[in-house]
Amino acid sequence: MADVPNITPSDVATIVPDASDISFLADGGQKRVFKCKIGGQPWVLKFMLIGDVPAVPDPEDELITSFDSGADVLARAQREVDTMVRCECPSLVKLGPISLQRITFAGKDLLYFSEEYVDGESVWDVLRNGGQLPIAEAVQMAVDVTEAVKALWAEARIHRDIKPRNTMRRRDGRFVLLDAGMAFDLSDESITGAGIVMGTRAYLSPEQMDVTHKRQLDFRSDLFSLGITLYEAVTGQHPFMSKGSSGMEVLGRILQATPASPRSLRSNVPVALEQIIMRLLAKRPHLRYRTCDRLIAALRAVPV
Amino acid sequence: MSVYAQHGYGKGTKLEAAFREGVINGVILSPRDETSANMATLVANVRRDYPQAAVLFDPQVYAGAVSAARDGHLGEYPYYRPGLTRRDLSRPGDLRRIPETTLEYQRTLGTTRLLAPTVCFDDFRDPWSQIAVSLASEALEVVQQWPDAPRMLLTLVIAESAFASREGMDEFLDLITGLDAVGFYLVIKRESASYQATFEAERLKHLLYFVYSLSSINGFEMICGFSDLVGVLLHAAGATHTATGWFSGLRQFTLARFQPSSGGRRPRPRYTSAPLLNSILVSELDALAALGAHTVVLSGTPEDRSFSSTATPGSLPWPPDTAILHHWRVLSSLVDRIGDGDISERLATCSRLITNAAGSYAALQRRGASFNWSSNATHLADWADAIAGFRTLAGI
Repeated sequence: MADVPNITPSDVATIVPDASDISFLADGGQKRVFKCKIGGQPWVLKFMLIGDVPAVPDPEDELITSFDSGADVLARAQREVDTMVRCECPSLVKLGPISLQRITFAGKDLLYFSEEYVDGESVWDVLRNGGQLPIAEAVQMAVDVTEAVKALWAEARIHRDIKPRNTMRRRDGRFVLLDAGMAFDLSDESITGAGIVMGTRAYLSPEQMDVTHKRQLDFRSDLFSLGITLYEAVTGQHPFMSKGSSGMEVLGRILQATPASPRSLRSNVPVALEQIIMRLLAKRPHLRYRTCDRLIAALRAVPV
Repeated sequence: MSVYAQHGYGKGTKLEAAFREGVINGVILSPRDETSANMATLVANVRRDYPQAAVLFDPQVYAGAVSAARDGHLGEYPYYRPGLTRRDLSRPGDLRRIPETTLEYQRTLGTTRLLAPTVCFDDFRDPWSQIAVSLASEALEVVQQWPDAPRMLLTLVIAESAFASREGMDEFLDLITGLDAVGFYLVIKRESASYQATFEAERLKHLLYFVYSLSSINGFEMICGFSDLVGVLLHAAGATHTATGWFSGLRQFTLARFQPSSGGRRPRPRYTSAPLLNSILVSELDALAALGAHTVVLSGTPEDRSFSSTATPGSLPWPPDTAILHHWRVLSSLVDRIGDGDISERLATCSRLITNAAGSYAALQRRGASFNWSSNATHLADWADAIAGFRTLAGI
């Protein structure tokens, strides 16, 4: 893939001599990710290529980005690291012992940093095998992700890329939100200019699609993406996407369509949870939840 | 019971009687109509004599933007600035100073809630609406410094014509539901200075949605000022309190209240009929009695008890103080009938009241009754359409 640094575990060992037991973990979002040990503890190392990167959709996620200049990549990595440092929340992934580094390796300009290794599986892993989360776990996921959204919003940030792939279930049953690389700092207007839509197509909120940015985004945009993720976790189906639907069709449905009732797809979904999901999927932010605490209280009241 | 008195000129002993009778549980005070010295005494007395009552003070800063405003006693209040222009309100210093001085005054007054200052706007997308939001944001920052102050409600004074556009309304709701506020004091500026219960159905539908979004969905405390009988519908949509006063100018809000007056005659006495969901002229009550039909429209309050046993109710004394006590009592009982069940039940109750009222009007007309334009059944069809449209819009 053109936008991901083509480096191997042995390259990583050369770049980060303190790292051992290095293994490839994943590619995605212009990053190559490795698992390793540093000081005997497991960590993740993320590598990015600095340079002008044409906008190429990730074939699995249909990640939408702008044409990225090297400065954009650097800014995004800095933002991700900064977000991890600033936001103290158990359900947001933490920065590891290596903060943001810039190096030249084999003639390539690279960025890398370490972050917490989350031992578990993503909600996407569960769903791709045709599964669903048990109701109690789905509710716990929603509570944990909402706590993360709340912590981000306390720093005037929004995540902008909440989706099953970025939602990990730890072995202890708690959930953690990954990849704050898209996180948007409301105080930094330069990061998202007019005409640029950031996020993953199938998880965009209606207001994220407003390329004129007349509608200011706030945390309620993340609540919409959480609503899609929660719908999928509970029903095993995406609320706006069906087999063979095109990207434009999905966007159109996000803007216009009312999804099928979750209870019509899984009869044991509690009414209260269905109401929460449908409210999260409201087209207008004012019809969702005005504070994360109100949403968390509603989730905790769901009989599971 | 969730009805407040909308205070104005000529209060006499109306407030004391209403609190004593338990037909209101709060008052929204008007500095235009009271000297600042009397205002302080009034607040202190109400709080002393009726400690459970809500006492709010509408600072009426919006009157300052009315050209050559007929602003009564407002000039005596230290925060009030006449002749406000958009330019005045585009300077950051002024935007902060107005909430600071207005709210500081209310703190010293000892009201149970603070009301933020605002300006009136005619369209959700016009520059005045942005000024209103800026003032609200500044007011929120001001009260953050006062942890012990009474809780503050943001004030919105919006023209009814603004509710013709749903798109603008939705954007505005997105904006204000993001504010870290306790609630809102909402006043709708009506177009017609003549009091009537009619409200164009499309606009009322959107107003119900506006109140529903703020109260039922977002959990804001919602006080709808100058709402009178329409307040019954607003309660069904989620309003926590509604308010109305003794003159027609206190039962609906128009800027005519602050504009130079060309004079006028004393209004003819009116009678509030719960079965008709309307206020009719006392002379119409007499005409109904002549048809032997007036008991159909009686509300059954202690104030109108003697009406049922006479053929000429218009000949019985119906002084303004009695009429307003009766009016508040009828409104309170209607609001109580709406109840606090879920919104679908509340709307259904409201619809039943409207259907019954329409049936009563039809029956009276069959018996030969006729009503003045301000007393007839026109409003009921608008209200019914508005509720049906609102249900569809909100998916209820």
